[in-house]
Amino acid sequence: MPQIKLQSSDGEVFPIDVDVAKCSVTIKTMLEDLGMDEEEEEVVPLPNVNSAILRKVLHWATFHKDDPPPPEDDENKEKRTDDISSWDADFLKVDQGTLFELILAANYLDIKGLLDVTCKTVANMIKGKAPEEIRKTFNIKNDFTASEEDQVRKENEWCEEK
Amino acid sequence: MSECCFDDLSTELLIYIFSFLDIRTLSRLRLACKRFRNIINSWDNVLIKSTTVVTNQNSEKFLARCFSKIPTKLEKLRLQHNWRYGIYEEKSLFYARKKYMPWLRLHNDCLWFSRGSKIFNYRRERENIICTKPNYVLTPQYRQSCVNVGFSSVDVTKFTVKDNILAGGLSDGGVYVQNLIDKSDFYIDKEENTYTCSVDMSPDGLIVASGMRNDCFKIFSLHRDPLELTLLHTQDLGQRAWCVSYCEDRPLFACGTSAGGDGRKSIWLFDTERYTEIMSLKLGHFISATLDIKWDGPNGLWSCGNDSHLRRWDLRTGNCEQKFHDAFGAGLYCLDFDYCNSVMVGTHLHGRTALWDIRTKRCVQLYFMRTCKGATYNSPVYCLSFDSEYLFAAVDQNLNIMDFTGYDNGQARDYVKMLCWVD
Repeated sequence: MPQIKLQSSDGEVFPIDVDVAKCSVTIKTMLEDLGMDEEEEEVVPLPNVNSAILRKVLHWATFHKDDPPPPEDDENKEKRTDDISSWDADFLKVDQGTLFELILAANYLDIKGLLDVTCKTVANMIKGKAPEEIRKTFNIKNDFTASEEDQVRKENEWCEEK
Repeated sequence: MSECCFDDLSTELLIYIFSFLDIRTLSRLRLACKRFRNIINSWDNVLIKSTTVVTNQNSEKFLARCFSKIPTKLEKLRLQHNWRYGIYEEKSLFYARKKYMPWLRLHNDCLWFSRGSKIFNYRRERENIICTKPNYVLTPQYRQSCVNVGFSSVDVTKFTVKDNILAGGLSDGGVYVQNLIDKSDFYIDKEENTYTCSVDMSPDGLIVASGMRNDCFKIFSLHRDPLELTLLHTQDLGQRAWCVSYCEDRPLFACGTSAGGDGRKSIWLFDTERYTEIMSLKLGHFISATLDIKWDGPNGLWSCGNDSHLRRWDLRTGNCEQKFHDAFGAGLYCLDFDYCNSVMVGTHLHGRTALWDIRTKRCVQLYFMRTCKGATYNSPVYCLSFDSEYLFAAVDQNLNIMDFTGYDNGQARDYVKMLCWVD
């Protein structure tokens, strides 16, 4: 099995099967477009991903390397968030900061499957929460003035329980 | 432990995360902070995935029958949520013991409804009943709220109201017109062994066309002072002329037929300036009557009929460009269109209507008309019309109104779910 080497932002080098690395569309196109020879012992630098996150991403990609390509988003369909596999759910039992870093890494590396499952996890954390709880959960500062907040509340009347 | 948080995510990534949320959650999420509010308020970004139906009031023709213009995008989303999931209140009005084949015409300020030999006119109003939610009511417009077209043995088949002129087809083969301002009227005499299936009129009220059961398609010119119809042209179609519709963008009548006879032409297009047939559209190899047609701009035409298909035709190519099949295989008696993405059909059974989003292949929702007692009808839906907030359906013994302006009380009638196994 041919391997390539990925280098994280903090300099750690990860040897990895090409098949696994190609879960990332970014790496896949890099290999194809730049004609990087798989035989050569070249190192692919990934300046936006640190070693802790890259290790997690590669762990995810190794488990999912045989997955069929994810279907294109159907704009007309309401997206589901309750279809996260138990392996993914366990994998994503991480602190919030790591979850956000995984989103950033999945986006940068263009791994749709990982991006979807991480974004769904965040969406599930938002669902069913009152605005105050959301702020608390995600440590968001309330930057509304009283009148601005009233305005939004008024517009929201329809979606509150009657 | 990582310090990464929402602030580190780009707007694009936030939109992606938000795209997994429903409208209700999104609305609440706007209260978290200004950044979220601003992103979600630019709904076009977040809700690009959400296909708006029924609430697109971007056509003057649609606005001409909308009771109110929807004020905000949020209100729009709420209404379209109600349409999508079947959240409505239903009223069943004007119960009649006899079964009729009624017809209706919806305008932004009033509703015209025909039954038997009478055409009723109702003003559309909101009435504050218990000061919480304004109740939507229909009240008789004039002291004499109905137009009586003649003898009680003669029924109105279909009618139209344009530019203060009412024109109706009669079951004795005649055509009736009335000037709504001075109440003067005029009849085209009855014909033996036939009836007038349908009439329509040009928007200026100068030309009237009627489709007959005895295969004739007639064009009249209308003079106002005194009110009079003059026959200009009769065309023998060789098959029954079920429905007639005037194109508001070109001097053109379309006529849907029973598609029998030679050539099996389903829809005829007739130029009212030169009195010539300019084109005919064919359904295919089988024979099926076209029961309702509506124009969609100068080159588009919607049709539906007995073969349970709703079709969109493009006159530039003469082809059927889009085709929607009723999942239950019912005959489609009537259709209406919002001149944007939504088209509705009334079927021949169970008081059922269906809403389609023309950008998708799937039916958005089914609505079943109920009787006053709450049971489901077995009646066909003879005519329907809708605006952004209300659906009107004429069934054999009632006029049903579905009011989509309410708040979600958890009583969604989401019948479209059952289509997953029919498909």
